[in-house]
Amino acid sequence: MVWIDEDPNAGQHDTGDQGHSHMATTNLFFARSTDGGRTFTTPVQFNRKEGDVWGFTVSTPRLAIGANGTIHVFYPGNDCNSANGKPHAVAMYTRSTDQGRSFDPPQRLNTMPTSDASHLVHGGLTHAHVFGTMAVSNDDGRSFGTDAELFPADVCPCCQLVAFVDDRDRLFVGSRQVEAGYRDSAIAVSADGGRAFLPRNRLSPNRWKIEGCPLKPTAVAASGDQIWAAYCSGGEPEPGVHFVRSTDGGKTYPVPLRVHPEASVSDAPVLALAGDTLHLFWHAKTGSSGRRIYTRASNNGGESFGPIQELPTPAGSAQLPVVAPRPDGTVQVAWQQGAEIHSLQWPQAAAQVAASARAPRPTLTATRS
Amino acid sequence: MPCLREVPDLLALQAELAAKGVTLLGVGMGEPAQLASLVEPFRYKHFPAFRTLLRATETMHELVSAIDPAWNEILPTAYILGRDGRLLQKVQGRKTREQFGQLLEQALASSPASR
Repeated sequence: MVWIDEDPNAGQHDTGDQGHSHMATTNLFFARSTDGGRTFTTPVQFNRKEGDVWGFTVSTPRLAIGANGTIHVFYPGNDCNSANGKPHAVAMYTRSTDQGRSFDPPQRLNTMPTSDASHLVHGGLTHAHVFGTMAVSNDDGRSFGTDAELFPADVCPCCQLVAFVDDRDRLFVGSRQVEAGYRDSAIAVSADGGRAFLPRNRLSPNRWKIEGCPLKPTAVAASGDQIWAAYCSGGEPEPGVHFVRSTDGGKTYPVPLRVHPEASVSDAPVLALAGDTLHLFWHAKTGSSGRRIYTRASNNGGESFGPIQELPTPAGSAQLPVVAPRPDGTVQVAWQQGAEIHSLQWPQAAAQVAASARAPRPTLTATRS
Repeated sequence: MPCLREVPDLLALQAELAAKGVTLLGVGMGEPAQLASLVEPFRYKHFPAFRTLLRATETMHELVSAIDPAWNEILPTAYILGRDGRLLQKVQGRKTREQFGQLLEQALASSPASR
């Protein structure tokens, strides 16, 4: 598990008066469980320099496990542009080849910026390439090729790209597209490792017109000819989390399913296919309650879903779920519980309890010998 | 929680409508631990006249829920409150000075000053 935590020394960073409008200095942590999530190892901090992680609610770090067990971690970082001395955000990567006991020194994947995204964000944001480009490694993350722009500069930056690779090595990229006054979720499909993409398709005919920042990524998963996506939109007849599936490889997406009709507000959906079960998680508010985590599951490829279930999280605000499939067909879910990170297996094993993985302070740093 | 592009227009509207009782109040999105080092230097540099609340709550959502329990984290979001503190209108997405001006005039008309 990886997560962003606040930087307790944030006040000590000298950004002078050069800081862009979206500065954030945070730290990134890793912990591993070998007992099904009951306990986790002592958190290890990835970034060598305090505050070197550009962390927001939606600047989510990514973790993936390769077929050979290599742990790949991607995260947005803070750097300084040597050309103009200004701080900017960069795309950072590190990996572990020893099951998380140590990690390679983080490396920057992006080339130096030529744009500060000021066409999207007042005063300039950061390094625009962070949000719409891709770098490819053919040696298990040891090295990466030069980053290349995936799409024209129309990816809504804070909503991020979301990538998924299926069992046929097809690459699916979910994004929120900036077009005139619209912010619509779209998916692009590549069958050749990202060298070429079919045209992006919007997921819904109900467009979301808003001159602003939704701060809402587009979740995507796929298997065979089926593609599943979940997104939050204010453009649907009833705003909130919606689900769509394509059965023709992404050419069309039939009518969206409103996932949680009883919720007054729903957001932050994530998807995972575990065995033959498609799991969908999100957070929502019902009645006067705070945010809670909810789930529905489909056993027929997303054609229909079972009832809405609330996860048995501790009292208080539970939000921003993430999910990973487990080999036994269940999933591991993690979420933000107040200022802590909690996790549980779902469907829940009888004796299992949610495990906290909050980073202790002072933090620890892993080094590779 | 305005868009930075909106702040100059909102400050101008506040000056224009101050005699009618219009007050502009911002809410910073930054983390509490980063207020002194990041948020305040930026505000003083660009918008020194922009009176801004800095949150001390764990999440932004907790703070905004006091006004709008259904806030969906879209930015920018502006709330027009009446003289009695009641929420009159929720405004999401970037608006022009003219649009904000119309909304404020409507709010003033529906929330007249007591005599």
